[in-house]
Amino acid sequence: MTVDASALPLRERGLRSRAGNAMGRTRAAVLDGAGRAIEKHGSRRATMADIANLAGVAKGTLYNHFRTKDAVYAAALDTGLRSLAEECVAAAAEDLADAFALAAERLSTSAPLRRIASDEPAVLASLAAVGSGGEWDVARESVRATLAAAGRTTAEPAVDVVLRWLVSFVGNNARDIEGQAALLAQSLPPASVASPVVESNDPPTD
Amino acid sequence: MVLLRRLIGDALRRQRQRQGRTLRDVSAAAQVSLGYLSEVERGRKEASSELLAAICQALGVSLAEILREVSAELATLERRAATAARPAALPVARPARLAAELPVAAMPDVRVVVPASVSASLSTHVVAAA
Repeated sequence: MTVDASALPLRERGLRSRAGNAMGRTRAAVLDGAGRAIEKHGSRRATMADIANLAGVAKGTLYNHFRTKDAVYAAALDTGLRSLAEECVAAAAEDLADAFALAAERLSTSAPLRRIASDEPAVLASLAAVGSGGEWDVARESVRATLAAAGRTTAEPAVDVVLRWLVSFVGNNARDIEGQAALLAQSLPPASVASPVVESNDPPTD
Repeated sequence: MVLLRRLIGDALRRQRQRQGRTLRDVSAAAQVSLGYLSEVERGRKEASSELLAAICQALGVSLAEILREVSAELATLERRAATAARPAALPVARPARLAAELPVAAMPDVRVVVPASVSASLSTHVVAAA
């Protein structure tokens, strides 16, 4: 197939089609709206109409992207997790404790998670019960990548300790996150150690 | 697109890294949350003037110094962007039209001068052929 290049519309380099950008913008707005709807109404009481409203998009537009509220929540969780992971991997290349503190702080101060923690204990319990499959696999992979970026062990027990440590911050108003992050980072052995012994992470007693 | 907040973030991060300091360290000194500092450094959040002042103070550098670095970087990127954009800005070449538009007088006046000896032998050949 040959295409006459001169017949194609001229487009500035680096610019995607308008439709492509608009799709991404709408999706980002919807996910943001989902977070704000949870913050305002709680995850169970928030409706698709609330999400559309707070996202500033028409209800029809929202349904074009997601069929159900659960699908919106799942996408918001996935996007949030991947974005946090990217940030943590970058931070861990410099300092592992920074990466831990960063993740713990985000989980602890996230407005929608705070709302869930204060009003919806059952939802919080399901979010905090470390499991496997789905987003837990994404979370595990993110922890592994973060540890690898810092040159630390990525053995399963170490990944599990970090994951459980992080989950304990979900929606709670934690204090001295930085100090705890530094302690955890210190306790994780370098990648070369074959069988890591992960020390228990008692909170500082000062 | 070059974003100012990204350049400012890069400059702040480079400064912190030059000093070998952690995000925890600088965020505590600037009384900014670690997450926010990280977002500013990554160019995801626009730092307010107050916040920028606090971060610079924590790093022990003047805002002017950071902005000078940003300005130099921005100038380089803009020059590069302008150079890259130039060929695309030209109309797509249309050789036929281009040639038609060239004034005839501009064509060089080419006159071939044939040396007398060559001219003489050429004419004998032509005569012989006839």
